Amino acid sequence: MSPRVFLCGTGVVSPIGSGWDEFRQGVMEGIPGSADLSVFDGSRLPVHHAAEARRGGKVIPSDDATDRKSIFLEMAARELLSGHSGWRKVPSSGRWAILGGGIEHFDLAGYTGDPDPDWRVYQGRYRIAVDRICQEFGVLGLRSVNVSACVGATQALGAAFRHVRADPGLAVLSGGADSMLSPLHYMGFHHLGALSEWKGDPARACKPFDADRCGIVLGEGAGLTVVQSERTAEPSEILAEIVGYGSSLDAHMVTDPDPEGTQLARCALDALEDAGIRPEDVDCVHLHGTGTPKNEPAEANAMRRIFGARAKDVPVYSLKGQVGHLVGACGAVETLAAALCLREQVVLPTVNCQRPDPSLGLRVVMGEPLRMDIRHVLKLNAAFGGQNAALLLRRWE
Amino acid sequence: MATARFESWQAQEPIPLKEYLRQRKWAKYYDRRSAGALVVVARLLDGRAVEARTPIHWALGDLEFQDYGLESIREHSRDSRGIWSAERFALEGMHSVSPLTQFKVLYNMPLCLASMELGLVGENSVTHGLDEGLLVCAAASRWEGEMILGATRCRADGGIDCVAALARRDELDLSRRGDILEILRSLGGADPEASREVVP
Repeated sequence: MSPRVFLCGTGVVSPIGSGWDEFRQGVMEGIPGSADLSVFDGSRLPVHHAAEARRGGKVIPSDDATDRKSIFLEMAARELLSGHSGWRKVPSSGRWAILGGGIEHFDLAGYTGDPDPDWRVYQGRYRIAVDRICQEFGVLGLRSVNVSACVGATQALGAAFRHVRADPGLAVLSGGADSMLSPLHYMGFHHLGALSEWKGDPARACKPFDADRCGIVLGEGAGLTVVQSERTAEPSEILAEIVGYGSSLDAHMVTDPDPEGTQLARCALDALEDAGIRPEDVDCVHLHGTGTPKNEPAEANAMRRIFGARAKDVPVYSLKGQVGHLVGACGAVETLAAALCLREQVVLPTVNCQRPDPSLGLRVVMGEPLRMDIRHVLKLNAAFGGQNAALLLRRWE
Repeated sequence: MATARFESWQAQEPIPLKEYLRQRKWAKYYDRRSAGALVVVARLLDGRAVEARTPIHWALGDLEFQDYGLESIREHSRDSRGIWSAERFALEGMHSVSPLTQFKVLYNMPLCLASMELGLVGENSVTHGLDEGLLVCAAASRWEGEMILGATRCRADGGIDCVAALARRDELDLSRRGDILEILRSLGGADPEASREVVP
């Protein structure tokens, strides 16, 4: 029999607060994370909504040259690992780091103002931050930085789960960090036509599942946890059990997800098979839910492939209406939110979904939180380019 | 028994992408990094059919030679004193490069474009760093058959090196550290007859 594997402890930096207590309160109270862009001057950009990482209600400051995701990674690691009892039980050789990340930061302002620039000098190095936390917290085992865009952190957590299940003596620092809030990366998402062009209150710019959804809001942050087995986990630090993982590729189109959701469903079914449970055992689904016109229909079709006629009855949720799209970190922060909902036994209303798109046929929780018995949560993420990933979490009991 | 293929192209040397593209209209999405990945995998498979759910895992090193229009953005984002202007960037700089550039910046494009061309829908990952990170992801697979593992190095001199290997999970040695391109080459027995060598 396979050993049980857990998510133990949290380190989180997010647009609705940093540290577990702030994040928990932000999620449970539906505090909006999206506002006017402030970490760089975006006042002349076509749209300037952003979900910037905050601590104590204030945007975490940095200068143009600083790679914000590296800051967030280090903040989250210190929150998670300072005083982590389960981590201390594992020798350094048994500590691994499998982390998600994003495209390297680029200091465009510095490069532009340099009369004779070498562009390489202005490029960030996320791996240096990874190496720094590995050194600080005694990771002498293997390391991997997954940059599979919007599924990077989800895949990192999945790989961590599989390795710990195979070798229960390991403890794996996992999750991810990302920030695309810089002029160059903003430009990239603008070019992809992915950004919300909502003209009203920026807090309402991202509307997952809504009939008026109009695109993503770029977010930033980090979510970290320690993946470890029942052999080394400290019960008081267990957030949730992780029981299944799957990943797949659409192999469809460069620009769009497969509208049928075939492979997205496949990876979810693989995660269920990995866990040895059936679709009817899943109580709710935390979807990718970007708030774009094309993502949600693909996810709705995937839901029907996974659950059949039950798809319209399974409560679904997306955190992105609240925190925006954290890209390489979204799977990590959203998995922590899914684990929180498992602990609280609640499916929260998706922030900014006020008029659910009837063509989706999904059960989006509206108004009040839905309190229910939740044993299994399915977490789905999908990436531009067609990568999909699924995690299955079980209530710790 | 694992097999591997190594390819290397010099800075100005064309990569024969179109020989391996079924959908030629997609050529606009490829940079040299993605083109090299597709060509090395296609040559590794050499017409051999693999199951659609065969996993594919890819590692990328730092991009050392391309600027993807950075010089153009810089020229169109400076004020009269030669320093950064957020206003000029918004009005001119960000529009001075093709939107297609973004497809060449995304780290997951080599893997995703190869999956589309070859019809691969299985487990996957893209890792950053030419080290053991790729093997960590691949070894987490539940797939019992051969997987496609690949890596791309973009050299500072403008050249590009690509390796692709077909290997089973039990052939991966996680205790081995070093350059992933060399590890993958050695998985396949480093068949020099089947691969082009780097020209120093």
